[in-house]
Amino acid sequence: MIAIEARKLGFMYAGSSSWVLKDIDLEIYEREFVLLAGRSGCGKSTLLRCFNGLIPYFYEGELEGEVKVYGLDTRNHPPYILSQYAGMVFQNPDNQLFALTVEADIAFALENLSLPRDEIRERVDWALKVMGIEDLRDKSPNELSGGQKQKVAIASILAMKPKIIILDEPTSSLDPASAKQLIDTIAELNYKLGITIIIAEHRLDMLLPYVNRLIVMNDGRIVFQGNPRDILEKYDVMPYGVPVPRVVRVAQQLKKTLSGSTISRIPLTVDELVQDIRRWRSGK
Amino acid sequence: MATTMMYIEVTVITIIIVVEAVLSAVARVFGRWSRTVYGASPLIVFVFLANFLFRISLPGHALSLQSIYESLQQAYRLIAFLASFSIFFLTTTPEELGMALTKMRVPYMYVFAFISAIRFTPILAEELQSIIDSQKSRGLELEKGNILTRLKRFIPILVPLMVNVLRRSYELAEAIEVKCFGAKKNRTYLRELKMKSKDWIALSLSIILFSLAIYFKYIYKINLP
Repeated sequence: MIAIEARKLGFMYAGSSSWVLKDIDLEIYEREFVLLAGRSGCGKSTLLRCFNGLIPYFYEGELEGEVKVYGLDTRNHPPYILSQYAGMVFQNPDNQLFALTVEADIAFALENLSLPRDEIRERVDWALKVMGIEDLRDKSPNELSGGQKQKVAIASILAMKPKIIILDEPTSSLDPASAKQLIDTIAELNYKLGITIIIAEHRLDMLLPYVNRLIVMNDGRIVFQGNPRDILEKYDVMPYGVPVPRVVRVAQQLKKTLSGSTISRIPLTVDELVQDIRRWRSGK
Repeated sequence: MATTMMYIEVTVITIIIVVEAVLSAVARVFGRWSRTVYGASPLIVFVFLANFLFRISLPGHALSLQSIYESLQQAYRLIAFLASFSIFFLTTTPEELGMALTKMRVPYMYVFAFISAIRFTPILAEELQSIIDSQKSRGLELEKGNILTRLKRFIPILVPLMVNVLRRSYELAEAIEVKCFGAKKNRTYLRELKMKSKDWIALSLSIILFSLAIYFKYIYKINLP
């Protein structure tokens, strides 16, 4: 089933004279794990904001084409409706937590939607459990580490039970270890709960094992999209500011230098590369 | 607290302080309470000295036991005043204060503003410190010069702080938007304060005591030492 559909989408911020998004055609299906890559300023964040109504509702500007989220046109549905389908997590965790305890923060959106108290309690418990942060319930956001804050931010969105979660560079302020942990948790939301994930990130090495679809953007357009292995095999994405994981570069070099079928596929993880080399040695 | 502002007499203030001590003991914060009051002692000494110096510098007032006594009274009163604040902040968390405001039917918009002010104060303080540090490392000197030049030197600190605050407020607005702020007219609450019987007893006791205080001060005037 189609979760998000964009047709001939273009956007120009008010007061600017250049299009940030140009002619974007895109379909995202339920349960997909989509990674948006491209250098800063290529339009990733703007595209994500088109998916939950922040554009055109919150940002002024000129919008062309149309975006539908589960069939709802983003032009005539405000963010508070669309957020119940497509929740959004932002870059800076500090700016997404408003309450004085973790529990109150997760309940915040549900209270705004005026859900009954029992249901709020149930959903808060559930979100804490899914994110594995039950021990943080009564803590204040100021006491948490960056990774913990970001988990709370995701839990607060998760509690609304959206079908899609959109994440705009959620690990950019985290150290590699917490980033890896956060990405693994996000992947669990995808394969355990079937939530569609759309994420803009620079940490390809951590994400690629989970991603179904890689979208490379440049200057407001989609340059490549498809299965990450295919894209990395066929195209050179480095010129578009996509940090290709080292293991992929090693494999590409091996492929060039060692002729024949040494490397039959582009490995996305070190384990895959090791497997390929083992297979090659035993086949020889 | 209001009683402290009306009365100056030593007996009344002593009663108030004793009541406050009992209250803090009941609330199991007596240790921390007495420490905060003790910690305020430099301020109390300062108030005493300021009062004393002001009194003897007035025309027609000489150094006398009377002026020492009056200044002591003022300082003593301050203890009762500070102690009541101390009990309040030691027993009430900011969340509870927010919930109390909601209970008092303050519109949620204002409660939210209050809560986020508390939430973001430490973050802004941290940000301010890092701006000060980075400007100092670029050679900004804050400790030199007279007041006017010092004030001028704060401009390179205030401008980035304001810019950051504006940028942050934009991001916050986005985030509350996706968290459906204001989606429904009648918001629900996960946690709510309920008036229990002991709350009613405490409330009525304080009202009775306060009315007694007003009564003895303005209507049936009594003279106390």
